[in-house]
Amino acid sequence: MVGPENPVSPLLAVSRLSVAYRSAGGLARAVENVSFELERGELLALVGESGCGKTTLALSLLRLLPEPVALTDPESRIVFEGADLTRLDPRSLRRVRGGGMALVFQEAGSSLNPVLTIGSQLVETVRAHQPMARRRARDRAVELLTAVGLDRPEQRLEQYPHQLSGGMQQRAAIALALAGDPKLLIADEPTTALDVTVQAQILDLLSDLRHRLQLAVLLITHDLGIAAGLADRVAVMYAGRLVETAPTQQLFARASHPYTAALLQAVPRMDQDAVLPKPIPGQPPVATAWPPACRFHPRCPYAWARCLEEEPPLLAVGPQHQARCWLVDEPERPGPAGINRCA
Amino acid sequence: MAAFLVRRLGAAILVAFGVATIAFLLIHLAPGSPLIGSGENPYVSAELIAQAQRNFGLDQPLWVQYGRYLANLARGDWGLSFSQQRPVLEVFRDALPNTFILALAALILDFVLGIGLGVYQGLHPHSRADRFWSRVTLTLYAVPSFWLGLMLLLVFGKTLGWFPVGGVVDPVLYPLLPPAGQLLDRLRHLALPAVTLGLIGAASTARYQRAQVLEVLGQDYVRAARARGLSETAVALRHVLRNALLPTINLFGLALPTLLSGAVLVETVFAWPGMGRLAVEAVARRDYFLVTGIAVLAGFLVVAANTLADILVHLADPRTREARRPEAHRARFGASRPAQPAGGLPPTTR
Amino acid sequence: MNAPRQLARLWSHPRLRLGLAAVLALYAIALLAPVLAPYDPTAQLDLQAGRLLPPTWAHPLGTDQFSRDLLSRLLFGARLSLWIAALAVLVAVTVGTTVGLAAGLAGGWVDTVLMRTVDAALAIPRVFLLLVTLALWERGGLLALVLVLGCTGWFGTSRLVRAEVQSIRQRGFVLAARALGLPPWRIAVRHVLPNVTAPVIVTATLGVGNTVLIEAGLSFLGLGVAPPRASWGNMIADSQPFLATAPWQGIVPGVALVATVMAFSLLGEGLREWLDPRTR
Repeated sequence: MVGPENPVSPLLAVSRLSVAYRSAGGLARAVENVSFELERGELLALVGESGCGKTTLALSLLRLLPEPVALTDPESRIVFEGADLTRLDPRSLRRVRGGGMALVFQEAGSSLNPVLTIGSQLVETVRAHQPMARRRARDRAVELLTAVGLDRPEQRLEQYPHQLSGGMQQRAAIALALAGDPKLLIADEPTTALDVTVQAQILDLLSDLRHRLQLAVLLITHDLGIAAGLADRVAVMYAGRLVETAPTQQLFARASHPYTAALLQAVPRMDQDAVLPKPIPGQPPVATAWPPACRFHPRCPYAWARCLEEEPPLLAVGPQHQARCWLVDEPERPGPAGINRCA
Repeated sequence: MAAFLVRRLGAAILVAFGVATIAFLLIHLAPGSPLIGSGENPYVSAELIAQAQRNFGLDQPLWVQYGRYLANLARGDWGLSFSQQRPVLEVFRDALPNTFILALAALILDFVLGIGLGVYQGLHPHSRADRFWSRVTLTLYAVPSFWLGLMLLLVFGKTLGWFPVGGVVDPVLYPLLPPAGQLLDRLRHLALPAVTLGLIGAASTARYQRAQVLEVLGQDYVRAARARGLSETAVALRHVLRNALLPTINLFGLALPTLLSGAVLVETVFAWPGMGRLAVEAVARRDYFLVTGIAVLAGFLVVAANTLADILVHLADPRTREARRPEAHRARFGASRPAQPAGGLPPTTR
Repeated sequence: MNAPRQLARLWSHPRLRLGLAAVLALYAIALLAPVLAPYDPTAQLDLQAGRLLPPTWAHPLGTDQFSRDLLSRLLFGARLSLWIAALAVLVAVTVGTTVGLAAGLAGGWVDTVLMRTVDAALAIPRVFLLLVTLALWERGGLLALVLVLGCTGWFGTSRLVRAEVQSIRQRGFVLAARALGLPPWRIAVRHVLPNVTAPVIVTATLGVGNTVLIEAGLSFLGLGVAPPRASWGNMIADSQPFLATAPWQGIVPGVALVATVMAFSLLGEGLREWLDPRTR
């Protein structure tokens, strides 16, 4: 959406991002040719089944993938606040990590160093981004812990991660992510490992922080329900590819890719009795051997010959709404409800 | 903490008790009693047999003998050495300091070289240097200590003449030397046996340490530390090393049995008058109580070292400070396996 | 999967292939020692002029102080060392697996007594345990050596097997078998044993290399293989007085030892990587 009529560049612009792993079973193309943009203050949800490349995508944005094993395609561009992270020197890259983009991990317990106190990890991070006296960094740490809703922050500083509950650990991890004053928070399944009630609290916190600090958020989740509640826009990933992006309302009203439609049907719904969630048939494919042409065709109820011959590009369904499906091209064919309504 | 100490010391005493029991059973269940049929043994006189029979009550039933043996051991009475004609404890007093010095020197070399190399390799995995040193440590791992000792002796002792070929001090010159010269003489004698034991220990320490560093490097919290923009030095020192060095404390407990075993052979090669050489001589002379005493003492030392290591880990690791045993989930394929094998998929590919 | 494909997969693992080839070659040498050896390993060929000869065409590795041919002794030494180690490990693995299964399946006081005993036995460094035992066994020949090495080598295996049993016990199929009322020994043989095989094979392979080293050490001390039989350990011991004048006499058996132990390490590590489900 960068163009002459829009002089303000987006916060993050990812284009043609491809990442592969060398593995015993061959090259695993975990992420292929993914492009998307994220505006300041926007909350984009990235949705997909496990194994579709979401976490790889998140890690590759910060260039945290293990170098000799993971290969990033040289065509890939990750432009954050005007700087291309794929060609940044290590020092500037470090400033972006935590200071521009911060990462919250799926399991807070394992993302906190077990032998260092919460306080020392916070102080260390604060000072890495802004040189200041230890005492002032400590005050800042207390502020951060208060901001994420941890009670008795002074006391928490002296505690080790294992002394906190799962929910408190995730709060502490969010505080750590915020320590460098980032503009974008990448949250990778931040609630998957938590109890349902705690999940809701953490999601509330994320939504609250986002408005208070005017953060952009990239929320990675396998749960469309979570995306529906929080996101401005949703991007759906399948087998290393983006298959559909749309503003949240639009996506729920007119899911245009059969995979998105299937995901929607797999979400349990409270408002409709007697509608049982439907599982998606078949197994998710593995990254060493994606299906040819359209990667969803072996599991797609609407697939026809064209889907086996050629992979569809992202086709425009409406303004800001694109889907990687030949049905968009041929709306007269039977397809999920969203496409038919659109046509 | 107090509860942990009590529990750990209790377990140590139990194991020490087991050590003594096994030694007792080995003596008494062996074909023939240790003192019967010893007519051909020139070191055993009639009084000694009488003395030992009194000490160990060999005419009594087995369980009485066992009780008496334990009681004697508890009082510090380890029996009599036939070949040296004096109490076993006195023999220990002469030999133990020599082994202690050798083991300490070897241990320092082992840990300094092993940890240094292992950390370096772990932080630069699959680099050319890493592959080179992996081959070196794998080879050293397979080298018999006594043979390495002989080879060092051949090169640095006999051929180059840099170091003496055996003993603790020079038998002729030592009394004539000034104090500084005496110390130097001792160190020169210590060098080759300590290097022999230390190098072989360092090989396995390095392999272990490398695997530990790799394991920690694959952890989320290291990735999280990088994601927060910490410098590589800060990540390596504060996040990787602290966690990767913790389990190495256990090696300190595990290194002792290896060192003591190695000492048996290396002390023989270098004519080092310590416990190891003593044990070999005692076996050659069928000095049963001396051999048994050495084995029991070695067992006690190992138990003590393991207990100490456990306590140290407990103190150093905040997670175990409140009574939690280090997890045993790596039992299946051993602890020396790197978390992320070369060419394998990294842990997070979802 | 069928057997040929399993074998093909096994062969495609580089470290495993190297280790397997080396170990097979070693055992081939051990088997063929009588054919390959140019002389009788114990024959004193020429006590006047044939002592401590450097390598020549007649004696590729030279002779020792009794004018025995070193190549022949090396080959026969391989034969002894490899068979002693393999048999001792067989004994150790059998005892260790049995004890570990018993402790893991019985639980309760049986488990406590067995495992405390193992703890205590592991605390005594193995060489000292061997010294005590060998001092008492009055040099009972090779069989005694094998038994003593085997009986002091099973403690680690029993611990490993017990740990494995404990984790398998919690898994569904064993719980199901117990719920069906199958007797414990049947559960052990049908369900648990196949699962503990992989880690036991790995430790056994590494154990053979280790036992070769220990046997060499004992023979070096004069407590293992007794002369005039050749063993790598006693060959090194024999070389000691002549180290400066005839160094090859000590170098050659040492290199053979290193190569052998490395072969078993490679095979063991290779098997571990191959069998470990996490790296498949």
